[in-house]
Amino acid sequence: MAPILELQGVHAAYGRIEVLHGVDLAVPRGAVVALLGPNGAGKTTLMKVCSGRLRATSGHVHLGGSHVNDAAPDALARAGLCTIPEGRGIFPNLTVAENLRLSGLAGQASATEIYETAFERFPRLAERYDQLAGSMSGGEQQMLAMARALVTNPAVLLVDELSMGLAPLIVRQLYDVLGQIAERGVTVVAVEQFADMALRVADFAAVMTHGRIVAFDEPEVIRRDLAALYLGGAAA
Amino acid sequence: MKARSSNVRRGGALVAAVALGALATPAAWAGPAPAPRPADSGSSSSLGGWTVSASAAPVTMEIYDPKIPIPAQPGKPNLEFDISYTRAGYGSGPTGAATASFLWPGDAIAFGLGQLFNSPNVKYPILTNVQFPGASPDATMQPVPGSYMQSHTDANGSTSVSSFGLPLPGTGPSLPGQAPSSAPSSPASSGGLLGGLLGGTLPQPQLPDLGSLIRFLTGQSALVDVQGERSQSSATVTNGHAVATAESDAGKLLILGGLIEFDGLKVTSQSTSDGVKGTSTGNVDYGSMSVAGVNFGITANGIQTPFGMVALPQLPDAMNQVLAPLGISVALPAASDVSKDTAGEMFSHGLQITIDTAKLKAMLPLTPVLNQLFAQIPPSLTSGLPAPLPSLIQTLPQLAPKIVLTVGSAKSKADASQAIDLSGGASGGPTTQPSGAGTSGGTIGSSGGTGGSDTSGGVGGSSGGSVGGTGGVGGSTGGGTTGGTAGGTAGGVKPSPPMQNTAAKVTPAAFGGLPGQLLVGAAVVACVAAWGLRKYSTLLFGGAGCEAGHSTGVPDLREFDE
Repeated sequence: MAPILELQGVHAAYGRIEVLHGVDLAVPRGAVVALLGPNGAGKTTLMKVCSGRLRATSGHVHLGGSHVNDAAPDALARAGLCTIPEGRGIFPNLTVAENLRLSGLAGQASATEIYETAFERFPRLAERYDQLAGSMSGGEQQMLAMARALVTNPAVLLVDELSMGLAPLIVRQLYDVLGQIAERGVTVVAVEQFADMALRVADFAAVMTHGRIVAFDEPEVIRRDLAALYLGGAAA
Repeated sequence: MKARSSNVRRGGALVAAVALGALATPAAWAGPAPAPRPADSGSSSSLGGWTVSASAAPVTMEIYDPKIPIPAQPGKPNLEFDISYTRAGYGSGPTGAATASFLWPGDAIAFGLGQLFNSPNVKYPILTNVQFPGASPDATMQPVPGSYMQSHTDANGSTSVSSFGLPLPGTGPSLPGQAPSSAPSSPASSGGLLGGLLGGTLPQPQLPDLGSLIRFLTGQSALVDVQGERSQSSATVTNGHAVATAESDAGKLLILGGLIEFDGLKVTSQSTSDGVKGTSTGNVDYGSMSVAGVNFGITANGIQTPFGMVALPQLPDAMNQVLAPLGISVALPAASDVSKDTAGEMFSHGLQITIDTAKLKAMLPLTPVLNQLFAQIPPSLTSGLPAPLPSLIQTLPQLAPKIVLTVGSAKSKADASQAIDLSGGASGGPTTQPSGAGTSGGTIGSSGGTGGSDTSGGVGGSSGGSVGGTGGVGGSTGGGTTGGTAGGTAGGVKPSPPMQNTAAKVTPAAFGGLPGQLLVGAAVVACVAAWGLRKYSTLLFGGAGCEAGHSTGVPDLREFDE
């Protein structure tokens, strides 16, 4: 299976401070990859590089078999790369319906099609149709963020810290939905600090520490060696 | 795998942007002409901005003495008192302010008394002051019977009036000591300048001794006694002109207990601006003046003295010779018209009397008497007063200020700028000259327009404009395309000659003329440059190639097939 997203020796920095020190990662098409690691490992920075929001200082970013180091975020988004950023990135002062319609602007779908796509997956949002997004619970806001991603018909979905600030039960439900999305052929890269939920739906898992990928394997292997990987780098 | 580059979409966006810019470019604009601008309704519609101010006072007293513990800039008085002072201001916005006070102590004290006494509740009591926008458009006050102060301001202008012992403008004759000839009439029905604004009735001029009040407040015994005075100031915009009017009237003025006496003094000043040129007029009318019982009739020809007629502004030496030993000098300042360009400014003022009280005290040995008088004041009374009053009271006997009295002053200033015709103008000729006025004409015609009616063309001025408009669309025979210089030479309303309408397209007035074109052009160039940099930056400035041999570009991931 050829990788739809591939990184080779990627370095990235904020000013003079280098955060990624040669990341190598290959994400097969249609797979769910959990990107794990402690706080400050560089996971979110890696998401930014993949989505074009931060340029790699060196190395190669390949997407769909093309070199996309210099591609703009909007171009990548139109091409089918969708990012759910940390903090959800919804518009809190717009209603649920308005948030969804905004996300559908780039595509050709009508408002009805947008609502059908979103509400089929998240019926709770239909009940909150006219409610301001900022007034919803954290779980509902995360549902809205995922629904907004869905209506763009993504090929690759980058999810950053899905579980942040949410109750475990809600996180479980959201990861179930993420698994269902992946079953439809969408490639998912889920950045997560809390490994259990992500590993439950992942096809592969990568562990990142100190700006490098230190392990890439099947979830069971990663789950077994997780503590050692978090604490000391590569497992035995 | 289908790797359709998104550059195709970017290219589409560029085409759209260029097309939008081209549409905005005047040469390509062939859309419907904007609706004709409504004719000037006599308001401020032809002016884009204005600043109008007027102030007047029948008597202005400036006191200079460095011993007075009130800081003053060099050459400026330490204290100032204006009697029946009015002030009006009006600016585009609109904003307005009107102030009236029959004993005006200057801005610092009138508005800064609370700060002086460190208590915001302390306010100067003899004052009406309104501002627009503000809580109330009107303020009136009658601090003593026979006095009247009113200030008014709204979106149309500002007016203020202050009167004591004289009728309000347009309310009929009344002199100091005389009761009104009839029952108090409504100024609104009298048709005066402020008639429509004054809703109250005229106060009964019972005439208390205002001179006593002034003497009390100034500490200058018998220095000035005023019996009836009035002033009014207005700042408005009418018929496309910004107008400032100031007028002061003094009924009878006694100086030094009647040593010098003025009767009937009227000073007016008016400045106007139509946004093209500022003009001013001023006038000073005297009734009579007497010094030590000798009458000096003042007429338009000069001053009639016992020694013959002396032409103004020269004053008879005999008069100053009489007054010099007392430290008094009289001068007739020239009215100053400092109008320039679009601003009209005029300062009219009557006689100016300078009194050196040091000499006066020498002639009248008052200092020992004053010292004894102030020595009788218990310290407990003055120690409780807020600063700087205790030190001021202690220094009063030693004060020997120079006092400058200006009898009758009226100051007016008006400045305006013409409106920019964003709608393309209603006529092709000079558009700023109000219909029927025909005094100055426009300097620059509208830069185009929709054309007037088929037959009317533009409205000319007496001198016409120097540059005409460039034409308009609409009028088949008229429309006055270059009516600036061709505008009326005979004054009044004169249609510009019918000219062939040569402009096939609407001119770029909707985008502000040349600056608008430059702005739109710059935006289009910036769009193209940004797109080019984004697309070809790697080619131009270099970039890392792909060592793995992958093509550069963004594929459609939805079509990705390994």
